[in-house]
Parts: sequence; structure tokens; C-alpha cells
Amino acid sequence: MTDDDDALLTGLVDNQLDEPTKRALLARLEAEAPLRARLAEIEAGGRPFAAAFDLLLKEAPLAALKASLQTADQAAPKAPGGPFWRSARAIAAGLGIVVFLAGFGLGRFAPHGARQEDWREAVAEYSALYTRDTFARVPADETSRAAELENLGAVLGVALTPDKLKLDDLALKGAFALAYDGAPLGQLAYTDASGAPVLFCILADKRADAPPANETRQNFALTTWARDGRGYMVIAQLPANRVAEIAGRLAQRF
Amino acid sequence: MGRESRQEVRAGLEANLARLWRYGLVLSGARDAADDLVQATCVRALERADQFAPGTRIDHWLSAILRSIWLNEVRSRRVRIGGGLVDASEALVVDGAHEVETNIFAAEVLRAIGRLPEAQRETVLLVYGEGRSYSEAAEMMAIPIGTVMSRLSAARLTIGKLK
Repeated sequence: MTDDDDALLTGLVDNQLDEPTKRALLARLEAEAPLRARLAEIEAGGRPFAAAFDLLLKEAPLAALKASLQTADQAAPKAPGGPFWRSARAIAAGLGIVVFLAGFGLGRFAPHGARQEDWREAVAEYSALYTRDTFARVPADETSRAAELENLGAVLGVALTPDKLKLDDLALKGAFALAYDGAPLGQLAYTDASGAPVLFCILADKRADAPPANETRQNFALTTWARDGRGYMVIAQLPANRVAEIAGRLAQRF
Repeated sequence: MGRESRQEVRAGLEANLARLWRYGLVLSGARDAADDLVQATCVRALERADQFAPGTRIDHWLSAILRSIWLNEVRSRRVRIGGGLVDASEALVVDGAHEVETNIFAAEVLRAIGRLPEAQRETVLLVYGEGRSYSEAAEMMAIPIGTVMSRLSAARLTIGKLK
């Protein structure tokens, strides 16, 4: 028995042999008992493969994929290899984080059309895509995390270190460099003990100082403030007083 | 960029999002990578909408883009970061506990497919999952038809030995 025989027998089972090959193989099967036994083995490996694969179609995160398509449609440049893809790829390579999330942010906030939308609304919109699963498998790598923070801090013009961002009851999961209306937007992603995402965002847009303010948007609680030319925001689908408490601790440092 | 071609590609993407995600999952064995691949495929396909030949299979064209991104841009990176390439059996697990009996069996089949090497998983998906002919699958993977047949026979022999 040869590998070629196995291949031919599989072709026979799948009815994909041309007629001369099929006739020749059928003639051999009449004469060769070992070949018939091998055919039985290959037939035994048959399964309802199509039905099995159909199950995976139901597993697809369709809402998130449609959102990704919508973003790509709005943001895709008119020439191949444009800045959207290069930026998304660079972030993915650097952070090892889900491309579509970073891509969504970049596409959403890219300065196409000089979008004047309120950054709080924009952040709330894409935060709606995060779930407890988003950061569940992000490994804790202290060394690379410190480098991420240093790079992001350089973009935003503010010192970002693990100590400065450490919150005892939250785990820091990643640092993303995005942009809103042409201004650098940094996002520090945390999760709480239940895995719920908590985002700390920094927008370096030279805005005037403002004291902390609390509000609710799209089922998210937000606390925002501004200092030294940067806007800050903590946003999460948590009780407003919990978000305000987290923001209060960060506001003492930023 | 032609407006019509872009609209056709966008419609093709929307109709095939779940299928593309499934292909990405079977290739990579990791759901986050499947998400990545679909997102990148959307961007790339829209950028290159003019290259789509009207009247041809858009699902095949989109799958080829996804596959190219996987091989050229994502796979090597995931090897470097040590993620998701060795065993897809967990990634291909679905929750069959609440399903009817036939789906529980299908979920077991998926688990068995997940234990196959990447090349065999992909070939089984293209031929048995998507119903492509051997020649179509060979063209997609840029391999001889004989290799398609060999991969399928190896997959069948492996799965046939499972209890």
C-alpha cells in the first residue's frame, strides 16, 4: 500500500476521480483484498464534516465583525498599503493585541473628514465592543508592558510607568496608541477582579484644565478631567461611584 | 477606485464574514487571530476592490486574501510570540451541551479536526466544509491536486482511528 493508493482511494470516496482513473482503481479493488481493506479504513474516517464546520459559523462574533467591516469601509484608504493598515499592523505587532480593536480605534479616530465629534462619545462607542473576553488571555509581561508604557508616554508627552499606573484592585492589560481628530489618544486597558474592562484614556489636545466630572453614556459611567493640556477619562460598565473612585485615584497622579 | 466594485466587495464581505472568520479560526487555531484576520481582510479587500474580477467567486477571492495575510503577515508573528499554532483542538470546541444530539456529535468531529495539522485542517475545511473541488482547493493552496488528496487521506485515516 502506498501513499498514492491512499490518495486515490480518498478520491474515489469523494467521487473526484476522472473516469479512466476511477475505472482502473475499481479494477484493482476487485483483484486486491489489501486495497479493499484500505478503502474501508479511509471510509471509516468519514464524518459529517460540513455539519461540524457549520457549527463554527454560529460561533463567529458577527456583531463585532460587522463593526470591523463598517470601520474598514469608512477608513480604508484609496490606495493600497495606506496608513490605516500600516498603523493597525504596527500596533498588533507591538502589542500582540487583537488587531480589529486597535484598527477600529484608529479607523474611528483617524482624522478623515476632520471629525469634530466629542471624544467622550467616540470612546464610549468603541468601548462598547470590549467584553470580559477581550483581555482575558492577554499575558502579563512586565518587561514588554514597561516598554509599551514608555512608548505611549512619549507619544502623549507624559511620563507613564507601571508604578504610576498601578491600581491595586485592577490589572493593567495593555497600552494602545490611537488618535482622535489628529491628537494623540492613549488608552490604558485594565480589568477588574471580575474581568470587566476599565479604560483610562489620555487625549493630548492642549485643552484647558477642568475638574473631574461624572456622566453616563451608552451604559458606561465616565469620569473626565483635564490638566496640563491633556484630557483624561476613566470609562467602564461599572457603577458610577466605582468609576469615580478609580478616576479619583488616577487624578491624584495625572 | 470604482464605486461599483467597492460596493460589490463590501457586499461580498458582509455576506461572508462568518465564513471568513471560520477559515481564519481553522488556519490559526485561535479566535483572536481569526478576528484579526477578518479585520485585515476587510481592509485589504476594500483597498483592492478594483482587482476583483466581476462574475468570479467573491468568496474565493476574499478567502485568498485572508489566507495570504495569514501566511505572510500573521502566522510568522504568532510563531514568534508563541501563540496558537500548535493545537487547535481547544479553539474548535463549541458548546454542544445545549444542542441536539446531532450537534454534540458534530462538536466531537470539530474537536478531532482541531487535532489535525494545520495543512490537513485547512484542506478538510476547503473540500469537506466548503464543498470545493480538489482542483479548487489545490488552486487556493497553490499545491498539486495529489497533495490535496494525500492530506485528505491522512486526515481520514487519523480521524477513522479515533473512537
